[in-house]
Amino acid sequence: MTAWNNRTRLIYLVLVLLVVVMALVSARYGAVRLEISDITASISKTLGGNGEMTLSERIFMDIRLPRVLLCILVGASLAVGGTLLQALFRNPIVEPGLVGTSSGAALGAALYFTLGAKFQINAGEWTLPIAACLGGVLATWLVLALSQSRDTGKSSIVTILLTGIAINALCISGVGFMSYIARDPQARSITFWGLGTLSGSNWHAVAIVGISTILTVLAAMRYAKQLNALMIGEGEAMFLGVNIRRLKLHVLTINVIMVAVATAFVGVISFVGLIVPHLLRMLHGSDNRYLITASVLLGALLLLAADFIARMAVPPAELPIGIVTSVVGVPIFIFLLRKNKYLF
Amino acid sequence: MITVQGISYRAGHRFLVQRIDAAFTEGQIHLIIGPNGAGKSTLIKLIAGQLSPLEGTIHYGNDPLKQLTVTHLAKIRAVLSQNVDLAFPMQVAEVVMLGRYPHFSLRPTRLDEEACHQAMQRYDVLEMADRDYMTLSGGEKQRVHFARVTAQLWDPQPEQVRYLLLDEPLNSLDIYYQYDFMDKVRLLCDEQKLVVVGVIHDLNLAAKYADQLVLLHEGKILASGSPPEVLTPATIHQAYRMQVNTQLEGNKVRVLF
Repeated sequence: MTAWNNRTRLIYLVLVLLVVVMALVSARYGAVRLEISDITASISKTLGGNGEMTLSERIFMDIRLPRVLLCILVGASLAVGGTLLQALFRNPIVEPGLVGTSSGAALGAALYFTLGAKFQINAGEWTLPIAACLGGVLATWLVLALSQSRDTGKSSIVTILLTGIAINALCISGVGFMSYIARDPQARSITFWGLGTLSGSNWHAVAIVGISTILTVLAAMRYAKQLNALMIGEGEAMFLGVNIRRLKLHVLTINVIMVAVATAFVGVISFVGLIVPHLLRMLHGSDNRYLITASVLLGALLLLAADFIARMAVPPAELPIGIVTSVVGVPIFIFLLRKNKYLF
Repeated sequence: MITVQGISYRAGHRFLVQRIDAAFTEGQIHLIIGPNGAGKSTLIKLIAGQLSPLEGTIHYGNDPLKQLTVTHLAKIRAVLSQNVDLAFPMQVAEVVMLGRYPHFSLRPTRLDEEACHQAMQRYDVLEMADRDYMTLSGGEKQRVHFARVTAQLWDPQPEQVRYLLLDEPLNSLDIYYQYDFMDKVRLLCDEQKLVVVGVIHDLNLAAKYADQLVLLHEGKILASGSPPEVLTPATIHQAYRMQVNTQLEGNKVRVLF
């Protein structure tokens, strides 16, 4: 395999640099412009644990930095999730939403927004993430359980995809129904959440999404080689020593945790999981060992950029980030698809 | 050696193969022939472990196939199928390296690189090593897969017996490459300690290259043995409903249509 030659190193180096630069830019600019001295002072005061912070310093430590970190983590999770699913389904049109995770999470969130107060279900600031995460996991479980053949206990990839599409449609109409019966502010919350937003970023979210992202990405890397073998088909991969059933189960589990946890805190952000693996394949081929690690970086970069645009477009208000990822992502994606000879 | 004892496989109520007994020995090419729907592909899939027999047993050497893990099998057994295709663009060299996956854990060793190089050289795919697999013609793609399978079984000092199973591998190839590949299978069988079992359509190709033939008809063995024993006007008529003549030349037989 040619995965680790100089070109690969160059790609990693450039991506890391871009992520760092984008993170710094994103931390500095916004509704309030911070000076570099504010940032360094804020960090040293936090590490030293002494001194009253100024307003600018607090903005950096309590708002900007957690937001930047959450962007990186969520972007990485969604992108790696997309890479995993495309490899597992051997299908380039798949994105993490397809097995029901995103729409399930959206339904969970919508149920909380409309009915949460009425039934007095409350777990403080955790209620929304828990509801969304549960929705995502349940919908995915439903897809997998329903797509299992009664005779053999196995499920074919096509059946999983079709069941996923059906369950997605069901969840989306559930979300629609909830918006329909909701009062206006609740309906607005549902819409806003369905388009994704990082405005609620805090250190708790960073910690939880951080743990989930690191563990799942590390686990995903262990399956990169087997996913490569899967590229020539399930039967052939078995002849190359891959236990298909176990591979599917493990990779889907990793994907659900990854995407459900990220989505639970920031809402549904489309397109990142679809576009990142394609951009990387155009750059340097389909080796999953490269795709998974590079997805972490490119996913982080894209989401940082999208969040930056979302904050800067109409200050001091914010656009939902899902709108930015689509509006900016779609033209770029179609342009690249047409320009490159990219065959399937 | 692969030993097959009394295996049957059923799809719905129809038996695709029924109570098959056969033994495939090393250093020999065993080819399975028969009309459409005779159960050739089912039999090779059962032997490969892709399907599990309803009854009967299959042994690789002394080990029951059921007790061998997928991982272990991949080190000693390679399968070449028809119409293998890729989901994503990939370099030819990477496709060939897939054959070495069972043999290394993280990165390919020098031995793995060497195996791929040898295999690509043998099937004339070395000069397209950097090309995208998706841009190749059908015949070129099949050559790449021959190289992949050869790399999987390649061993500079063969000690353990290994197994090569072919499931109609010649379908997309022109006559030149059909004969060329069978020559190379012969070569591989001689230099590596191989048991070769394959399904093939062309009767004269089968007659030329097989040491042992198995003629299947309606899921059962109609005849087995050396090509002259199996390919007689009577058996061919019974299996294929065709009136033919055969011609013996030394120990080789030719079918004249």
